[in-house]
Amino acid sequence: MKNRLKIERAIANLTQGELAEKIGVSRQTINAIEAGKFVPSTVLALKLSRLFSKSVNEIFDLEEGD
Amino acid sequence: MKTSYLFPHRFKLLSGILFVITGALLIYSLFDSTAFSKVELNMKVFAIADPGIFEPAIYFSWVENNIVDEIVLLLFSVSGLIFAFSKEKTEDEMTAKIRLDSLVWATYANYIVLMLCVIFVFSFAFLQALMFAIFTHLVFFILRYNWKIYKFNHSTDEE
Repeated sequence: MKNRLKIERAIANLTQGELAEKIGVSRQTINAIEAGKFVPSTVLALKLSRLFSKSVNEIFDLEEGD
Repeated sequence: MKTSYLFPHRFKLLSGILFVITGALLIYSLFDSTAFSKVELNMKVFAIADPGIFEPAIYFSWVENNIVDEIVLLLFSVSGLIFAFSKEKTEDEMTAKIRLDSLVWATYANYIVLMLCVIFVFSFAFLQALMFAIFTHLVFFILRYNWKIYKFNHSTDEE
């Protein structure tokens, strides 16, 4: 799964740590999501979507093989 | 993330210390068979089964027993479980994933070692291996989980 989390975070001008705190995960988890190593749950995806005021589809996208 | 089956994070340090101490005692007792009789704490205990080696077997009755080894084993098990399954400082779905992965890995590792023992270890040594296998599952999990958590907590920041 691809994601635009890093870009969205840059637009919102947040560090990984600040974003992590806002949605209640550790900074390393944000790092792992951005690196594509971890696929977040629907709950976490919806929290990110609400925070950035964008739909989940605009942040996350399926890729070939998913 | 809400999980009802994990212990609070503040228990982790104390249970970890207790786990290492009781673990060291158990390992020491492997080399010194008199280790647990150095301290006498004899009590009447209820025995469901006490087959005895030279005495007749006893079932469902009270027997006299030195309870030091029982206490050490119970402390080892309880502290091991609490240490293994206490929350991280920041508990989220990534730590839950690492925990699950490690549990699966530890189960595989334990059974692989057990199967090797079935093939290569015989008679009394095999019984000892079986006793080991009961505890190594938890030990394998603790080692692998904490290693992964350590690596995760020290993963590099890309900023």
